[in-house]
Amino acid sequence: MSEPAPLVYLVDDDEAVRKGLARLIASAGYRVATFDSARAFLGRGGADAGPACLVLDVQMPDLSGLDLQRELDAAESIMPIVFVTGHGDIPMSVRAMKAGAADFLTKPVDEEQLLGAIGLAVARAARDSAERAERDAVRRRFGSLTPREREVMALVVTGRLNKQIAHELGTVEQTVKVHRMRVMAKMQADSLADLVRLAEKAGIPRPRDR
Amino acid sequence: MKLRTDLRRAACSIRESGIASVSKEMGVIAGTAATRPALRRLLWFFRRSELLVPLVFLAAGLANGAQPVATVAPPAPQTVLIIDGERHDLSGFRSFETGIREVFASRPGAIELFVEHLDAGRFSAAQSRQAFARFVQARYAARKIDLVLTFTESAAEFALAHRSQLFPRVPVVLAAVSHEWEGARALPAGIVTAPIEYDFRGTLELALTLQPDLREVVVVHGTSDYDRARLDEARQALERFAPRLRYRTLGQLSLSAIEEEVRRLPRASMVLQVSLVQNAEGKPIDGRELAGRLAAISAVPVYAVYESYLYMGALGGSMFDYTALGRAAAAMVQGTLARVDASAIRAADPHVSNLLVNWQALKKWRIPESRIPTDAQIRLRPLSPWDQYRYQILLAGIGMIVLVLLIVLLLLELARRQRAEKTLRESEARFRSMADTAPVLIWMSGPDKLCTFFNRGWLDFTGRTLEQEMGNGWTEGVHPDDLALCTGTYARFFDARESFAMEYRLRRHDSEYRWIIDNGAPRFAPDGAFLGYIGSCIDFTEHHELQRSRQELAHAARVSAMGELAGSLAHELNQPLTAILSNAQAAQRFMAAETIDLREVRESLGDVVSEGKRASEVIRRMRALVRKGEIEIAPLDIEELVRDVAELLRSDAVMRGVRVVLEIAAALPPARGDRVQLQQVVLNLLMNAFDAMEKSPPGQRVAAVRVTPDGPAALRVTVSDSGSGLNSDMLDRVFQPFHTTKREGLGLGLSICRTIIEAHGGRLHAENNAGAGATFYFTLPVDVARPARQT
Repeated sequence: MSEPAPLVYLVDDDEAVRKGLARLIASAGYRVATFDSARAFLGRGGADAGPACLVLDVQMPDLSGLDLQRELDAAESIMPIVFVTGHGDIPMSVRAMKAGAADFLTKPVDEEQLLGAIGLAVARAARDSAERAERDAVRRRFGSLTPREREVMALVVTGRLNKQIAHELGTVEQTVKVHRMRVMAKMQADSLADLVRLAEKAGIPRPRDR
Repeated sequence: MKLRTDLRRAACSIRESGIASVSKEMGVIAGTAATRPALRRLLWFFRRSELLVPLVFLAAGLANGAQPVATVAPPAPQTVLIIDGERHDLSGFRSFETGIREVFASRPGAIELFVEHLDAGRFSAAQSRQAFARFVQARYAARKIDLVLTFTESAAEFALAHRSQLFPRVPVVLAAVSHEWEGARALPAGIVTAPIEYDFRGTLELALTLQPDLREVVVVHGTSDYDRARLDEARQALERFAPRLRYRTLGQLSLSAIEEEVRRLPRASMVLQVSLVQNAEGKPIDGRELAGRLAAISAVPVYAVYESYLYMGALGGSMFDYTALGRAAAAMVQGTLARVDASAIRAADPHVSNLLVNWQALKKWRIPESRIPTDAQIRLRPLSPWDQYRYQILLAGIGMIVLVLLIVLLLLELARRQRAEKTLRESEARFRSMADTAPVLIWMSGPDKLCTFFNRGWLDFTGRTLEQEMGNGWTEGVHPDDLALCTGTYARFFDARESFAMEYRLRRHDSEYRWIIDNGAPRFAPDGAFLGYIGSCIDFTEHHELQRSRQELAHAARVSAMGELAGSLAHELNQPLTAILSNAQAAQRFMAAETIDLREVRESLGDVVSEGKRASEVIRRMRALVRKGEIEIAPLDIEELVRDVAELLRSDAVMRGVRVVLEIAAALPPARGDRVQLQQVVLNLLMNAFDAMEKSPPGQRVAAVRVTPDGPAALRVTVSDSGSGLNSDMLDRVFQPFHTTKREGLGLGLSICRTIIEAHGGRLHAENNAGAGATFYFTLPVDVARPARQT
């Protein structure tokens, strides 16, 4: 593979800590981009190429680590965050984890812990981006369905028979069969189970069961 | 021929005698050598060498006339013959002669005096005159007379009559002649007079002064021509006093009749005895004797114009001063002999009378002394012992006074000494009683550092005796740990003769060691001599303990503050530790790679080292703050102190979202104080500032520390926050102990801070800001030993 190494963002206001951690992470083969404040990180611009994670200090002047986490959440970022803090207490860590942090480590941070967390985070990032890509694809396929086909699909995934669907929609079974075939093809589903899974993945709402 | 003889005589004179005779000879020569050829010969004579040397003296001698030169033998005296007209023993002539000799005494040897007495009073016949003249001629045949001086009119008459016979061409001075005598004759040339004037007027005035109620003057006089002349003078004077004074004369009576008359004279009258040379009976009279008899028997005071009568009993008068006349006559003699115009001398002083008063007569007639005119001379005053032995009495008196003074001085000195001793004893007693009753321990030492005195208080405190403590015995009670410092300090200050204060432990009588503060001061005698030391001590154990407690409390507060900061301090340490660990682990990884990136390894290790130092700095700051120990006053760098505290609080500030701003003036002088305690203050104030801003919105939390000079001798430190501020009634109450608005803590922090600042000589205050929040500020003294730091 000629994919670039995964990118690790590092935000810490302490220069020595930044340099040390950056060196360590780089020595493990990652690409590292360092920022001395949350604002600097937010203003970095450019799209992320490939999976990336964020190693984040908590106690920082101006915007703290937790503040940044909130900001990223609001922007629907899926970048996993590994918190590294010199002052860890339980309430803080609980807050961070609840808000979706990948991990919460205390300084001085052990290399195995850190690199392990980063590895996991990067993998998750990759997985998440893959999942997102897939969902987007499914959504696109769903978007390509006609309104009638969508109706049919919604009923099909409930496990109704074609006959029932025809009766509900006020059409003949044959029409339903045709629509069904078209849905299966457009959605690239191999089986009913597949279709159901895809529907769930795309977040398609289920109609009320009768 | 005569000229040559004369010249030879002149040469002899130069060699043998003096210039005076030379000049006389030369005068003669000059007189005889009036012709020109004679002059030429004279000049030829002088050219002879043997006369060149005395030529100078000759010239001087000619110029000076009779003046002798010191190096030449004195000239021969001039001869003056005095012819006295009366007896030798009359006081008038005696006075006259005294006056003459007085004047001639100023130039001794210049004049030789001869005196002859005509005694015309007793020898009146013409034959006696002739005999006298022959006598004089015979006597003075061989002698050259240079001047004749006569005394009284009779002598004057004689001189005039026999002048050509006895002393032709000799100048004559007629003394003691009256004006009318002179007026009745035309005196030939070469004759001058020194007249008498009898001051009857002055006598009468004196009489009126002494006897203010005087009415009548009885004049006793004689019948000779002389007497009549005198009477006329008296009458003239008496006329002037009419009508106040009447007068009558008794001249025609016999002596006994006169005496009878005088005996019966009424009060308010006087007797004026005018000259009585010859009375009505034709007898020659001794005027003096008569004066005495009259004075004795007269019923009233007798006045006269002759001084001799005064001594016989006359009360007084304006009496002729024969001595003055003698002086004037002598001056005239000198002047005449020196060829000076005698008349000029004569004009000098015609009035030679003195007011004389007879003291005994004054007393006899009971006339008060106060009536004596101030210009009158008093005669016959009995010499009191004072008069006679004036100098001896004065000396004795002075001697006595000196003796008495000495005695008085000695007595005073004795009294003074006794007083001083008494004062000294009293002051000793007072000192002792004060020393023993004072509730302090008092000691004294001599110039040799050994102690000489301990008061009751000291002895009671230590429970020892004076003998035990004297000298260096007191050191046995000093705590062994303090002994070296105590004796060392004492010795050092003693040598410098300066006051000191030291603290040490002294064993009390119950064997407990108590903290003593000992103040010693040097003693000097009034003359500046060093006498030793005197000191007082107080048991201040409780105070000492209190101070210790305070220090412990401050320490505890510091530790507590550290405790509060533990979290952020741990964070402070964690940063460098993290960096160290990361860098080290990174280095390990680099080393394990296939191609070792040595540069990375080196950089990593370098960061490890510097971060290790950073960590130790944090530890240092912490340790400095929690240090427990004695206060050390030293010069301080305030900027460094403040920055250290700010570093310590950095993590805490970040954690609480506070921005810390430091504004420190440039080139600040070093302050003076205890570093640990001052850091404690700044730390406390900053932590309070952080607390104050807890409720403030983040982003508006700013704590500022400012250091500026406050005048030339102090620095001002302010710590301000942008929090909620203080209530105005709390501005001072916050400094009270146990005052707190926080849930935790004792609330001692600010009170301790205030105590610390006050101990540094400053004040700690709080104020609300114009905007949000409050400011705490304090001042610190500048360390004066060093100049301001240069940045």
